[in-house]
Amino acid sequence: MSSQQPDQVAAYTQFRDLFGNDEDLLLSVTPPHLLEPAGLDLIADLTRQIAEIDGVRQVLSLSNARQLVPGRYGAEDQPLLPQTDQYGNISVVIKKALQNNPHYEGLLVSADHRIAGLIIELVDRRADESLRRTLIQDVRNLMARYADRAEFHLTGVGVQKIDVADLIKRDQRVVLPLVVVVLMLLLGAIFRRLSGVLLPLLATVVSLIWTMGFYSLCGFDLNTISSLLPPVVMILAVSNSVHLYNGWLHIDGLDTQRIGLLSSKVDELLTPCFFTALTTALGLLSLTISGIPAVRQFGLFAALGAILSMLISLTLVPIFLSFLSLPEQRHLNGTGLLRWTLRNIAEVTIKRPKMILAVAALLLLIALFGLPQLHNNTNLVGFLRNNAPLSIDTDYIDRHLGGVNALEFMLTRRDGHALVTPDDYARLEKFELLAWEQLGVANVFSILPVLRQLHQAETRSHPLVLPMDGDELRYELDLLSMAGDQKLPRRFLTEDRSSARMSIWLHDIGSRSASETASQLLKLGESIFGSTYYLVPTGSYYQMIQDSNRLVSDMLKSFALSLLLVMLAIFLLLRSYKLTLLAIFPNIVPILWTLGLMGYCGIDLSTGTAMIGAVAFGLAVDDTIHYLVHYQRVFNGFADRAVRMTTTRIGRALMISTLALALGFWVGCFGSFKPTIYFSFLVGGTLIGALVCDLLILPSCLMLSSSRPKERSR
Amino acid sequence: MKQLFLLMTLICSISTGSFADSVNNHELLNDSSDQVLMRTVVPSSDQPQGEVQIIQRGDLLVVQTLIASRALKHVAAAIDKKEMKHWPEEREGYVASVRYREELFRATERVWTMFRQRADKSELRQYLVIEFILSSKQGLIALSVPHIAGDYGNLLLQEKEPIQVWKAPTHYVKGNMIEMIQDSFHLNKAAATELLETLWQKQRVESN
Repeated sequence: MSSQQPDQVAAYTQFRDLFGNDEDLLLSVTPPHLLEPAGLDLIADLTRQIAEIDGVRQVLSLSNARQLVPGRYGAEDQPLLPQTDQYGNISVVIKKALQNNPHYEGLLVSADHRIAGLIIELVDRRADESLRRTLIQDVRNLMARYADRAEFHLTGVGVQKIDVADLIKRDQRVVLPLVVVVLMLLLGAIFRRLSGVLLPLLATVVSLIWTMGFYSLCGFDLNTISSLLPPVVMILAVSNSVHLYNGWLHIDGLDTQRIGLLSSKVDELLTPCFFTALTTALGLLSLTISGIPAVRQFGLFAALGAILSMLISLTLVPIFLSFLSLPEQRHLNGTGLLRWTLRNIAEVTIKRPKMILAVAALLLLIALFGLPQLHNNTNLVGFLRNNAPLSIDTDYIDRHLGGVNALEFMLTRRDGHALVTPDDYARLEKFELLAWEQLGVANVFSILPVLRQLHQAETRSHPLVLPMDGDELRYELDLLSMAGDQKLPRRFLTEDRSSARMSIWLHDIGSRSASETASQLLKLGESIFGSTYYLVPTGSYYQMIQDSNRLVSDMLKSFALSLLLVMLAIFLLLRSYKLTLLAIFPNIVPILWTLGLMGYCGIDLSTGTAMIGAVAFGLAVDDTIHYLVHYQRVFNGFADRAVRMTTTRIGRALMISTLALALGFWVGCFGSFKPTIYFSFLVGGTLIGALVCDLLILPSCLMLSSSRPKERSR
Repeated sequence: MKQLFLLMTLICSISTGSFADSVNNHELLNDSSDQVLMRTVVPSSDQPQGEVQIIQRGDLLVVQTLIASRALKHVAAAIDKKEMKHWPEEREGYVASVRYREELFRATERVWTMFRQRADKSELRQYLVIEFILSSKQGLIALSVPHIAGDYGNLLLQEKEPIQVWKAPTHYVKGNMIEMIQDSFHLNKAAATELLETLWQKQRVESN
């Protein structure tokens, strides 16, 4: 899902080479009484057992945390807690130890000393997804085994990735069958014929198999975005079949001539079907300019699905229809209510086009006021429903321990020298101090707390301060590099001291706020470190918020490209500047309505919702194409006649296909992810809005733009 | 009472040492005729902090530790810890060990102070030489500030300025020499003892 921006990828690769995996797991343990022997023994047991799991590099907890205390020759390394048989008044001992080691509070123990935190650092085996899955399952098995002794919560980027993958599989199992059921019910209700249900479904299933087959052959896995592919392809596929089947229902002639008649009907529908598939594909293809691989994959394969489904519908459906007898003519104009509705819609557009456009303009104005309230914000955990276990776990750990997402910063000197002068560390400390003041910052980790503690133990200084003397600093850095356990120092300072790492842990504040914090930190960093240093922000979380930042520009670019390509396709089809321009209006308006609604409802632009514009535009324009092609065909110089004939004759097919699309998308509301839910709901809504525009605004525009609007004016 | 006794013993021992200092130990410390019999980098070539050398100095056998470390105090702390482990209160030689630890601490502080006042700020290492000297008559311990050239494995002692020199019981000096050989050359106790005895006997034969 994450970005492939070369500079970010390079920085992140360098970061992981220098400091290892940044995707730590966080486990909170809440026993009845943490600071009693039973509670501490539980932490020690868990720490030991988790450390033995394959793929775990180390576990940091209260039971194995170390502290530096003053000794005869300076700092002496000691366990933070006394041995089990020396617990005594453990509460007092811990409070004293934490006073001397404040960096552990909020990390290994909550401020109220009720909850313990275990930091599980993983080995850096980037491509080994199965290792991560097995490891997390092993930790969860342990949690289950000890469930009667404490309350557990587990989170971290690794857990998020695994759980999201599982939820995608769950959605595949739930949403896809639901789409099939909804389409069957809808097709059955509208066509009231078995063939009207089976043929579009057959075309849909074949299109889905082909598209997903290609996707799989290309070696891609499903993610939160590409998990939308199967339902979207199914919905796209049904649209062409509906138009073909509806066309077949309208064939008027003898059954003995059905092959010839069917062939003529396919000829008639071939052009609009081809162009609707083309415009849909172009709209989806415009997503391939996105910086996010998942969005690009979705755009590319959904476009492929649109084209494949058109080809399959235009071949499979007519072949099967050729075996069926021609339908009775009662199906010609649909049910009485539908016919009455379409006739009235046509009359209103003919008689009151200005009023319709005025209402549309008013709604548009209201929507425009909502646009400034639209913000980009991505939050992986926030994508989940509030009652999802991962969401609950993350929220718990975020509230009681120190944050769940880390912004990583790498500091190096531009002159290539090692970070060994007091000035280097004084600047880093200033940056640390200001980082604490930033929005959403829960904890800041670096080599500094270790150095401060070491300096205190070496010099018996109070309070905790950094060495200000060059010799003392070098000596203490040397001591660090000679420490028996190098894992902690190496986590924040490279062996040659050329690069230092600062991990700034944030509460679960979403990408928008996190991005502001990151920008502010960078600005502060530039003023603190000046031109002498490189301060590079990185880490998996930083990549995610950077991707989120690009969403708006990506969305605008995609939408502009989609608009351009679709309009070009429409112009090629209609060969009319006027009709091409008129086709834009009823398709842009519903998208602006939707975006305005998102602004008013506080729905953020995220990886999922940012695709609404391009996808909905490509789909919505299909109805416009069908309408304008028919309008052009029946236009005899008078707009009112052509509008009346078009609205009443193809309105039914437009309504059915739009309803099928909208309902198909709305099934996505049963998914596990909010972006999927919003995307599904809003695309469906936009398509309904577009249908309203095609049946009201487009005819009104045609009426007002015609030199001879009404037949009776002759 | 026991502590008082220990304190008195320590004071006496320091006084004896001071007396010993007043005795001219020049000959015993004179390294002009030093012949390095064995040498090794300590604690390991991965993290070198100095060398332990077994030296023949006339009719003396010397186990010399050349410390050239950026973290001398850390090295001294490690020596201090080993001393406490090897010379517990109930073992004969404990008092001598307490004296050695005190002198080592003072020497380390002195070297640190000198290091902080050094003219050449590019010099990052601190130097100390510890010598356990065994003669047929006595045992001697010397702590000196050296001038050392070369790199680990080839450290060359150019000159040294004694900080403290004192007599110590032979069994303590010999015992510590064995411990040092055992630790530095990664031998077991029996092998280290045998090595020291062999070198010592050879030394005596040659000097006779």
